[in-house]
Amino acid sequence: MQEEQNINKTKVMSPWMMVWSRFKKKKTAVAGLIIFILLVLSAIFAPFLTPYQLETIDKAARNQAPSAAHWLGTDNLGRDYLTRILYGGRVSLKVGLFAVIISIVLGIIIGGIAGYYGGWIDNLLMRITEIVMSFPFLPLAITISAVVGEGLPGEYKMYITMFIIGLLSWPGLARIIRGQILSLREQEFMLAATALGLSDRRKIFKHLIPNTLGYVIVYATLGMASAILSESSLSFLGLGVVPPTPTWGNLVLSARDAHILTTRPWLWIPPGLCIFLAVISINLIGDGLRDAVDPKSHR
Amino acid sequence: MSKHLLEVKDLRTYFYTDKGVVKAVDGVNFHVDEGKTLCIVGESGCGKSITSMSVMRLIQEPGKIESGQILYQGNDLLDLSDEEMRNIRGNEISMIFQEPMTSLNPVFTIGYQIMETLMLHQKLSKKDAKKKAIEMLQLVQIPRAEKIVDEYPHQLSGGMRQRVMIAMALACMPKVLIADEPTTALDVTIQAQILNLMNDLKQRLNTAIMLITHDLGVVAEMADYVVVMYAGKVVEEGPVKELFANPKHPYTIGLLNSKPNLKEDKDRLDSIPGMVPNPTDLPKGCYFWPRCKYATDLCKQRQPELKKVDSNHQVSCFVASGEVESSAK
Repeated sequence: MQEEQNINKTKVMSPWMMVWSRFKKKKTAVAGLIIFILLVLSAIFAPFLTPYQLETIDKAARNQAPSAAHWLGTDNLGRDYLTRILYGGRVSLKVGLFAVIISIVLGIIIGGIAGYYGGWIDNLLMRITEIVMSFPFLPLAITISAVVGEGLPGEYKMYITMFIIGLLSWPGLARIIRGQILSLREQEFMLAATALGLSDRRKIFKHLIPNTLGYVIVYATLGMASAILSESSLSFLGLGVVPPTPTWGNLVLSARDAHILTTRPWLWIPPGLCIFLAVISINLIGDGLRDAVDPKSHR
Repeated sequence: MSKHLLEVKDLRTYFYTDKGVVKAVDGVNFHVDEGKTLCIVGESGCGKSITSMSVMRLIQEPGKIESGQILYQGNDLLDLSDEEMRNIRGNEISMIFQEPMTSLNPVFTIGYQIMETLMLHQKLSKKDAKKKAIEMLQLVQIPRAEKIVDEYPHQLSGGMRQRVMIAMALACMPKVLIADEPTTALDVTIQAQILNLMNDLKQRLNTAIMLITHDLGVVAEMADYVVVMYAGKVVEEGPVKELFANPKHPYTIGLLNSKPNLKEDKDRLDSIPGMVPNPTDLPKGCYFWPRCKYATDLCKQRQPELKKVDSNHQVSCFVASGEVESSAK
């Protein structure tokens, strides 16, 4: 009787629940997750966290130092700087997220097809992957941005930046997935799936890809960190998202002025700090996930 | 007009390797009838598994089905498009594999894997499919089916997983079940349970079973009709009782002698001398002659054909069918 109750009490653990329980044990990863959640929440609830509008220009209050009214001071047009950082977080995180989604979709499709079919299809797709991989990222991103982005209104710049980063960062994932699928497709359960009458598409995307999801998630988190960094660098160079749309990257841009750099550090330290926190927290999460997903990594 | 549910005619499956052409299955004929069990017996590497894979059209590069017909309800499966073949697989003909430990996808629940075929082939809704999945698990005698349905493969033992495989294979009520050494990876008590279960299901669902095995004990328990294969060819076939009581081919006799017998007291089991010949370099004449103590000069030159020795007992051996006298005893 006692035993039967015990059996009923043990809950079925899905593989993801096991990953979560291992993830929870790692303090740095949980710390990263908390920091990241705070950043995301502050970006989502930006309108409620500040009394100012993003575009409100107050000419009377230009270039102010931090005060009770403007916690991080104001910029040269009298806009509240904290407000711009909060809204800038929205853009930066959004660009990072969508760039990663684009690269995951491409990576999964290309890696999955190459790995499953092999032969000349694999050869062709992997050569394309290598070509994309061998482009130096920044010069190419700058060129594309300069050519495509010419004359476009500022808002579109954000989307172009997303696509540039996404389109240039899928090869790593495609390779990982291809390698995984090469070994997975020889497993007996795939033969069993064929024997059950499943189509190729179903086999690749419903049976093989879920088996690689552990790697995809780790890649996605780490990829998001680098996408945020790429966006910052592009925006800093003035080729990513351009003002008046704020991002952490183009807010740091103000530091290019030597005068601002030395006398008004509140203009460039906070957005820089945000980039730093976002990237390090995501990396901590990714690290924790990597250990949690890979059963071989624990002691 | 074919009266048989599944009929394989002159099937030839060759593998094109760097070392030459391997004739893994070389002109095999057999048929399976509704509610009957056909056993294909033979040593490792004699082409049993390739035969079963050919029926499902699961042969992969560099293998190729060279010629022959696989008639299912009178239609040749080899003529079907990939799409039509997918509708046959898992729905009309399904298959259980040797390794239950690796034949289930580790990232999905047992229930989902059974439901998938049901939703795909029978177009059931998710809810109905789940109900049916639980029923199937109960049918294969898995205890606490309502709970197991939400569990993952790693939580089950080998015997349980093989039951799940059978449940998956039978979910769409296929007319033919191909079982490729379904009990080889299991321990003996579980083997017996699985075999009983298959026999039971055969009677209940009237499924035809094509059982691939090298275990003559399994054959004796399961088969209605037996096909003995050697080096890609059928060497002897007949109803199980006839074949066990009156084996003709030296290879069949050798197989039967090499199994332990309760009535005799032997220190060592008999074995068939020699090895299965290298498939890229088969001997001229009868493939079995280098290992056969009855071999005659004729055996070394010509290949014997299947000849009737009884109404439905056939053997391909010059000596057994009485065409030549062997000097050996």
